[in-house]
Amino acid sequence: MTQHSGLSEQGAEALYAAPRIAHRQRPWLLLMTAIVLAFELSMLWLARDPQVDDHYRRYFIDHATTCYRPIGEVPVIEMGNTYAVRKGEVLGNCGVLWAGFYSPKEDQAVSARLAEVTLRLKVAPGLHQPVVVGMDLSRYPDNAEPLPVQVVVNGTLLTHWPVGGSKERFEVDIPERLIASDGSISMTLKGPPPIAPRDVGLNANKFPIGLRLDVIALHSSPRTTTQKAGE
Amino acid sequence: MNDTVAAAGRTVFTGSLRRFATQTPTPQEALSRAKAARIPWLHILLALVVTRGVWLAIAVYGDQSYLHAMAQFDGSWFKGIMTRGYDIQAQGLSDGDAGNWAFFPLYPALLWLVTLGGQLNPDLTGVLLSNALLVVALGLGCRYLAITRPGASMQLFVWLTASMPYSFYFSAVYSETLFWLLCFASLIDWRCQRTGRVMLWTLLLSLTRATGVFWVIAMGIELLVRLRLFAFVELWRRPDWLLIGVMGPLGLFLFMAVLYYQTGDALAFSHVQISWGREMGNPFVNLIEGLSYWLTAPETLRPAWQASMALVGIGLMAWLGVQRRWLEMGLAGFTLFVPLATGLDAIPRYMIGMPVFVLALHDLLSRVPRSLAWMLVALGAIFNLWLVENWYDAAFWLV
Repeated sequence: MTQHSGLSEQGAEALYAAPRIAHRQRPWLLLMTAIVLAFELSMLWLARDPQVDDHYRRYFIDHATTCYRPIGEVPVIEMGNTYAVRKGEVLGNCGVLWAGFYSPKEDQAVSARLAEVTLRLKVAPGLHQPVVVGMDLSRYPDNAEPLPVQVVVNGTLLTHWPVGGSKERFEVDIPERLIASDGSISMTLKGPPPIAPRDVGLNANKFPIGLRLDVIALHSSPRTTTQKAGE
Repeated sequence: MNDTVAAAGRTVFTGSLRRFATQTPTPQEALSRAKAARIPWLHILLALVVTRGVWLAIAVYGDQSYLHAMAQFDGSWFKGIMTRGYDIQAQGLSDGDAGNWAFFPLYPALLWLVTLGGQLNPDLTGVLLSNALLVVALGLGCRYLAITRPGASMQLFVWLTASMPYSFYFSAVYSETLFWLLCFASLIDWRCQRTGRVMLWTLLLSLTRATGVFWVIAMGIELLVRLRLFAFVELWRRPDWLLIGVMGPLGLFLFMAVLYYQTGDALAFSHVQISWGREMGNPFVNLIEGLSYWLTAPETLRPAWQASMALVGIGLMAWLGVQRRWLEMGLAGFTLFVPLATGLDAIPRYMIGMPVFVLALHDLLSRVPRSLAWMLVALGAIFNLWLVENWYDAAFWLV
């Protein structure tokens, strides 16, 4: 028994036997420990700064998007229809949502994990008319004050939406010239920086959440309707 | 008055728990028990032949390919690593967002070796390899039983392991059996204080699966609980323990070096988990969420079942703690809670992949009448046949 055997039920030597390390072995063992430890620390140092491209960083490290790269067709959105944006739904694939949106589960809203996110939408090719895109948007957390979100379509700033915590419908009129000949529309939303639930004391989730997108709906522009009525 | 009653209650409670406490043998005693142990090799071979024979018969009867089924899912990833090494870019799964970086290198390296560099059929060789590793692991397991649980039934342990629910993983081209073997080897040598060997086994453990890293941490927990603060003094007296502390996780760090060279990201093995929907969170929240499915949506069986299995795991872990098997409890705790923090998927597989859970189950079975224990093992084996059938049908919830 060692002098401290009274502190435990069975003392160190009784449990683990007396050290069998010879005095001259000791420095070598310590040296080996130091060398292995130095290697491990250097690997940890390298791990801090991965040498990877932006796609990799966004998907694997920042968890800023559900998709590593755009995969899946961008479906044609029918006028007058309303589409839930969820994983597993028509507009929930990596063709539509890959740049900055995160859609974790089929029963959860799609949310942006970056301040700037892009949606790829598509209307019927050869539509030749302006369209109105409506979105049910809110900002995290539920009690967030409304702050302006820029709506940019194909590089042109169209409007600002004051998006707050409560789910609200916002609409933007997209002129015909900003719709590509194949009907595709690239729509970027630039909002305030996302917030991590951990930072507002809600839970331990460290990944930031920005805009939440529930629904997308398309309809004809009133101008077009009026114009057609006039004709 | 109330304090006195409460204190008396506590004493009764701790007293009743104390009767389950086990004594840790001294290294000399452990060594002599290990040498004197009579391993039931015949039972081991018989258990494997019988169980695998029944599984094979089910495959033949259902017109399924046994070998194909045993090499599916993670088996395909291991075979991929064996033939073309680690990916430079993510490309797997349907969304092209998964790399093979989540799979540790020792098992595929062994597979490469036994298939003579990929010349032999990897499915057949892989199944044979896993079963051969299981034979050795069971032999070591019986030796470990003899050291830590003298008088415990080795036959019960062997048949339990060979036939219990989810035991088909031990026949698959998966790294479970290799992990079992290395885990038992390191546990035996730790009890016998053959520290040089412990260094080697734990290094290989962390080259086999990420959970192998936890061995060293669990060892630290045992030292702290047994020796309290004097553990630090002992560490200074025994530089071989210090060396185990850094050699244990070395396998992981070597793998990180390979990944850094291949992908530029040393933590790719962890980051790639997002492709399987795994993201670090709160294990208790995940557990409660999963259990709540029994009430809110019992038809969504998968999360509810996985969470219930995690609950069983927590019970087994606590049972190891009650018996004061601190190292085993630490291993069980880390193996359960770290994956649980990332989600409920594959929890039963994590549990069966760590032998201490089976040891805890065996400890429980050892306390019931012998006939009841064997009956429970038989019931488990029958339930496993249903799981095997689902496995043949490539049921994704079994991955």
